[in-house]
Amino acid sequence: MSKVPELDQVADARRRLAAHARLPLGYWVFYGVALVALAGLPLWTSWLGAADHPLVSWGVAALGIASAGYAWNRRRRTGVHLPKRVGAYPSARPWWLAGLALTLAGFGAIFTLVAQDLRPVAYGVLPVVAIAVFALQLKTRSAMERDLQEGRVRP
Amino acid sequence: MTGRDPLFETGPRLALCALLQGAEWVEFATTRDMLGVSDSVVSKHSRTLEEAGYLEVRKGSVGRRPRTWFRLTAAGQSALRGHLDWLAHLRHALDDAPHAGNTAGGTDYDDAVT
Repeated sequence: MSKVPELDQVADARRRLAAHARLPLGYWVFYGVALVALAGLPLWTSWLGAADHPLVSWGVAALGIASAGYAWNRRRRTGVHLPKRVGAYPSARPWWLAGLALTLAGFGAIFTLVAQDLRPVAYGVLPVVAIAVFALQLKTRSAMERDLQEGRVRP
Repeated sequence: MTGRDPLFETGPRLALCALLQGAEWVEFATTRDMLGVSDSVVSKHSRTLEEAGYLEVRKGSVGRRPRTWFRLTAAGQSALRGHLDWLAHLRHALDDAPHAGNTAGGTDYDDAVT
């Protein structure tokens, strides 16, 4: 207890709110699978015929819709609407930008390797990219939680 | 706005505003559960904060059930930041005081900071 109990109340309220930034294990399992599926798209499409490409597009669209639906349902169920913009979380933003840069670079690298017929190398790069992006996403979420706990968020 | 704001010194108003500070909207029942208070306490204090222009209240429904959401206005955010700065200064003043007493359960802040 600090000597100013009001500050303890504030810290407690912020902790309770920050708990809503934590995502369940099931989410992370699904995210990991989706991440490998998306990062490996150049590989999977190289095995598929041109006729199957619309299926891939529909798959990506379904993933996007499922993701938006999950976020909407979670807000509705918990009653807490946290800011969606990563810019509202000052210490999470650098991690998010790093994750975005790595995702683009990794996807580009895998795409280039597949285009140059270096599929075995691309298969080796895929888990490295997926693990790094996954780790950065975890860092982003924990930075968001910390920002909420410390009252740095600007909705 | 900076400094102490007596409006935050009654009931769970400070905790309520601290809860809303980092969120876009928080639903009435969630607010009540997170603060561990009754419906009437949330209603009473949210109304006071709304009248002061610190809180925005939105009414709607989820399915057929009516729902109420709260969020801090820009004025509320600013007043809360000022009050929290004042409390932080107060804490430093108390920490630096050689014979700082236990203030739990009520503090005469005017005496402590002068």
